[in-house]
Amino acid sequence: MNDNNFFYLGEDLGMGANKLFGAPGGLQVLSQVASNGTQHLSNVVGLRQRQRPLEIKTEQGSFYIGEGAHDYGRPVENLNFDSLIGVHNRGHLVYGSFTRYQQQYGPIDQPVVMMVGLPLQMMSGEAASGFASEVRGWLKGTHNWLADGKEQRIEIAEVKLTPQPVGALFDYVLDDEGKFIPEHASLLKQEVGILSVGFNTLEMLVVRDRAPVERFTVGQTVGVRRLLELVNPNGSYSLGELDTALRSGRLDIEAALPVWAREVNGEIEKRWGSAMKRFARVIVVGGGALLLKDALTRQFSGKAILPDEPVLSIARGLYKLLLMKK
Amino acid sequence: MSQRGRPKNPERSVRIVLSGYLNPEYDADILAWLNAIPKGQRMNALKTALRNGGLEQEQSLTSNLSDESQSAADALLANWEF
Repeated sequence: MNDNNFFYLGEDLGMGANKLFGAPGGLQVLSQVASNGTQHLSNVVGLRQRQRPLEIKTEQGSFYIGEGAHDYGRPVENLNFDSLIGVHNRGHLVYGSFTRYQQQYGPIDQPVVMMVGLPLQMMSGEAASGFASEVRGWLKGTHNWLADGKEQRIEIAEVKLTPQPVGALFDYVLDDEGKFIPEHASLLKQEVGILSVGFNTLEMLVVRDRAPVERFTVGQTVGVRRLLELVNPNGSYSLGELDTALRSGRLDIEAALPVWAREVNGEIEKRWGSAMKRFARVIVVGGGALLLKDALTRQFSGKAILPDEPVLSIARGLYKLLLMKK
Repeated sequence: MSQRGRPKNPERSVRIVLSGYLNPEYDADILAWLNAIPKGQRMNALKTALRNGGLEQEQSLTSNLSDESQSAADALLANWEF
């Protein structure tokens, strides 16, 4: 495989945001989708003008994508795992992410080789192969869409899949060229915990003797959405609206944060228990890691490792994995 | 009067000072080995250890480590890559 003929891209297909990472860098696009067709707030005189979300159009319809999308159309929210598959579900968001990536880093002219990270629940057990082949079947091939009226095209030549926490592990042990960092790579031969606090799920993966430890490996739906549910008992806001407010620092989480932190700590305790004392390190990633940094550092007694970009860490690790396997 | 004791080596020894940090976790084996050597014998022990296989180029050591890491990574991905 000639390096110059392909564009390598790691994708962390998250419920809260879709994260992409390639040679030029990474970005995240909030997983907010709204069907088009309602009023255009930016046209109302006297209101503060906001950047309009990206409009993605395919044969399946027209949708607003990314931050603020829920202010422009009817929110489309679905946190079932099935929603991560298929153009009619996640496709518009993925197209929006490809568009934003190329707007930021320049056009992708070569065929793309992707390593996609999915939740542990989808990548474990008997259903894993089925999910993997569905996602591969959907992503592989040539895609055409309109972004704000402009034609877009991308060719995806190859799709590999792995659980999201695996990306976090390889982000830690590999450098930017996909080579092992000697001081970190020894973790692959030790017992190490990986904790991904995402929007929907808290994913726990333990690796020992070069293999996952099934007993300690699980995903639970107590991600950041649980915090948002705590501050939104009546369901007055969409999760997307609350997520936008949280990311901009406009959401009051003072009372709810300790409650959520206890729930997360409780889930970790329930699954890992006293065994976590023997883990050499615990790698903590995901948007929730930033919110729970203090609580988790306390819980892991100094063994916690928080990467420099915990939100992009999984996508970056998936990209490094592709480089390693070249 | 003849000179007593060990005759002086006519060749002048080369003094080498090495300084660095060892990680208490990753280098625990080296620290334990160094601490177990009686005082005054570290240089001889170090020379013996180096001659017993440690005189290869650093690249070779790195290469071995990389091979081991690659093998561990492959074993792990065999379970998790689809």
